[in-house]
Amino acid sequence: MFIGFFLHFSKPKALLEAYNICTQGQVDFPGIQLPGFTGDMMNMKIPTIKSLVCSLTLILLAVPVLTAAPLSKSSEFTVPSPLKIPGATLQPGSYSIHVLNRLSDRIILKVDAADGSVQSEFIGLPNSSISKPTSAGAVKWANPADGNTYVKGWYFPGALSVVEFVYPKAEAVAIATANPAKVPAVDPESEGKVSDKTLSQSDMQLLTLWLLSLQQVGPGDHAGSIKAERYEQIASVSHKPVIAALPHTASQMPLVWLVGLSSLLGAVILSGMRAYKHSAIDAKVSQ
Amino acid sequence: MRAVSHIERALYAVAFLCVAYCVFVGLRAREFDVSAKQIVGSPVSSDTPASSVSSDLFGRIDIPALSLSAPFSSDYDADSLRKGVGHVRGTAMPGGLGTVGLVGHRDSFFRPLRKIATGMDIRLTDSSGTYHYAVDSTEVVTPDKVEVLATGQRPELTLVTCFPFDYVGAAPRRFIVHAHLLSASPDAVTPVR
Repeated sequence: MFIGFFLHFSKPKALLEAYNICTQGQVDFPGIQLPGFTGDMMNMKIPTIKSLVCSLTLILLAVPVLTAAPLSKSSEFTVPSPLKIPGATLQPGSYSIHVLNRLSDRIILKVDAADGSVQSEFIGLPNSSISKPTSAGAVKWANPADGNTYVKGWYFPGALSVVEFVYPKAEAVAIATANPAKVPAVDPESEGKVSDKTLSQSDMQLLTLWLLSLQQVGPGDHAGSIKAERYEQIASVSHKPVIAALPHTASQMPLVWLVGLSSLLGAVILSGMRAYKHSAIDAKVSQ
Repeated sequence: MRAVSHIERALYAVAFLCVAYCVFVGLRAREFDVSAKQIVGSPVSSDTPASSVSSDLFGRIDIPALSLSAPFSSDYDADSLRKGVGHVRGTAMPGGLGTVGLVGHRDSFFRPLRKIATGMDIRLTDSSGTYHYAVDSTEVVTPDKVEVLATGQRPELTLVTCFPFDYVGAAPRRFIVHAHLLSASPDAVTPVR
């Protein structure tokens, strides 16, 4: 029924009819028998059809949102031993993790301690390729890096995918060195931003995302290099040029040398001329 | 005769001043270079105040194949470019995830760039270590083509200097060297597994 409905509305003439339906409040399909449409359905009131279309549209729009983001915006957890998250080390205690903002390609997360103090705010990426744990909570990286246990991501209750944490470059390099996987990373300092807890949400929304992985990327003596590649951009993050024009890079040194050399030559020539004149006068006097 | 003598002395004075200026600039650059060598490789401590000479320098660039070695500072104003190479603010840090932009005088520190070739190793060193870049290409552009500093699909390095190299005065174009980062970690890393 719906297929026939949409096929009908894909024609220009049908679009005009649809306009008439909306403006006049009448359903009229002259000479067209749509499969699945009964006489009663053809006589349906406009509000009923509108409701059907709106419901279907809402369902279609809701699917990607539900698959990309966690259902719950907050989750509480307890840390039995020190645990590293982006930008902070969680000491044993109780914490809560919140979704602060949800963008097209990233999620802004915040971890608070039980006393309400903010431990860290960082970026997360919905990653359906990470296998979901049996229960909601932290997903850890398999191998510790630099003697620390790093959290790979968080599985929120009811979510369809794990939210993978994005680490600052130095921490991401350490994780990528210890784990054979692509580690999401950001480098705020390389984008003229401060690299600490004061990084604002608007800054996080603009940061370029990268993936770091351990592999052979250079000549033989660079075995075990950390390869960096840009994370596929979904959001319309566009970077403005950092400068208006390429700098002027010619110094005054060649000009100074030229002036100095010319002056020296001129002075030497004048000295020579003076000496020549003196010797000529002396010769005349001696004659 | 007396006028000629005066002119001669004036010309000698101008020549002396020019030489003195060049010597002064050379000594400043040397002082900056020594400071850069002291800073590079030693972590910057917040307890130790930076000296006036080293306050704005934070690394070195080396291209062994061209015997090019110069300190670089955090800006590219006229004074910074007299002492070394300048880092374009807003571009990536050495070894950073983004494009590092470095500019230098074509008639001093970046003069050897005229002989640069694809595949050459460029080393950027700061307090975090030494990062290697491999030269990909060169191009000559107009000064308004700032896209050469844009972030690409991988971390890169862009060197900028004026072109033509032998032009006396304000050169109309820019010589660009494109290179890419070989490893986001300084020097070689040892994988755990």
